[in-house]
Amino acid sequence: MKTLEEKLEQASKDVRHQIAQMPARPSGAMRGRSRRHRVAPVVAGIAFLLAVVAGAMLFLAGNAQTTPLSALPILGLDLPSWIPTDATEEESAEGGYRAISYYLPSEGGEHPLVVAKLRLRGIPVGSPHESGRWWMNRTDYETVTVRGHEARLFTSEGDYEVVWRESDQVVVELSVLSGEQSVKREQALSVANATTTLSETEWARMLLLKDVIPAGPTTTATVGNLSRPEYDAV
Amino acid sequence: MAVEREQTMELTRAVDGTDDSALEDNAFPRSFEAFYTRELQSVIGLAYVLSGSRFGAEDLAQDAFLVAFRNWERIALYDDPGAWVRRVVANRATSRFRRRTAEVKALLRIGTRRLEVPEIAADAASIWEAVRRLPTRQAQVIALRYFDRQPVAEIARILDCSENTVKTHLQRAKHTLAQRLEKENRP
Repeated sequence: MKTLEEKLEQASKDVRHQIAQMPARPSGAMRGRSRRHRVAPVVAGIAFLLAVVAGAMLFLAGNAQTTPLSALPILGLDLPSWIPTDATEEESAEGGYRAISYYLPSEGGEHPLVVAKLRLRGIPVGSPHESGRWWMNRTDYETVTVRGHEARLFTSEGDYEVVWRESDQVVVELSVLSGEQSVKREQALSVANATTTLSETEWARMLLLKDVIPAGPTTTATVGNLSRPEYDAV
Repeated sequence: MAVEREQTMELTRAVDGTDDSALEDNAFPRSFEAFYTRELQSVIGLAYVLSGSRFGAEDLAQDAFLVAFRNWERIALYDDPGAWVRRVVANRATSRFRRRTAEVKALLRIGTRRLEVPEIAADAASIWEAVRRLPTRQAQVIALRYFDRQPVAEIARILDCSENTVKTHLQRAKHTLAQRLEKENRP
């Protein structure tokens, strides 16, 4: 039986070990960051003006065109207002994951940002990766149903996480976070329920980012009037 | 103008680490490069254990280093710039608003590779989760003492309080933690 001191030492050691594996951003990046902080208000002002002008033009055109993310035909959420911003994978074979971030654009409210991060994990039933996951060892969850699957709903300081097993091979972990305000439980569940129903083969493909995204390193999609790199496939 | 240019050049030398004369033997590094390289990992770790945010920890740490960088001429003269940057991170990581902002910023960063803390073992994660449930000062003291391996005197300096206060926080934190962990592990 470990003492509290030993537990704290071990927990500290674990964190140090994991941090040591992170690639370090070079200190030279500070200059760029510092510059960005100085110019950020100016850029924000210009961006706001451009958005107003472009928005007015689109309004006059009577049709806000949104180009579908053709490179990501089977990704994600069937919620048109949520915008995918980022997709990454990490050793997406067994135990690895694929993650896609989405955000809900501001509707002019005081607290504009809500982020949904969808993680797809290749975790076969009963594998060691399953027993090591945080949601296996927590008991403070509510059982809910997500598209017919039994799911665990966790909450922490107003944010929500929903975890469910989509198939014998795939687990989905969804975090719904907000910049400043508490995320409503119903909002988290509606995002979870909006995930696309996929066949076993499609889920397997989703775990292989390179199969789904054969194009170059960056794909650009048009969202409303703004063109932006949607993700950086790394 | 000339003064400003000279300050900029000094700062650039400090960032590049090309100002070797700024380094003193056996002393805290005076170049920003050396300071950053030496402290980065433990500051990210401190941000992580106190915020619990794998996505936002690096941003919290980078923001603190950014403030240090922009004020490096002043901060480099402190006895221990590391204590200063730890104080900034300890305070920001325990501020719910700062923590959430860093997390959202990290999640929304577009076009650049996001750095996130790799997942830690479930046991370790639950210990730190219990630490974060402690009152703010107690959590900071535990993180600095165990994760950052700081002695009591240094923790007092970082948190700008007396050593006795640190000892009191440490004692109370350990008492509460022991009770909670025992309760959670009870079958």
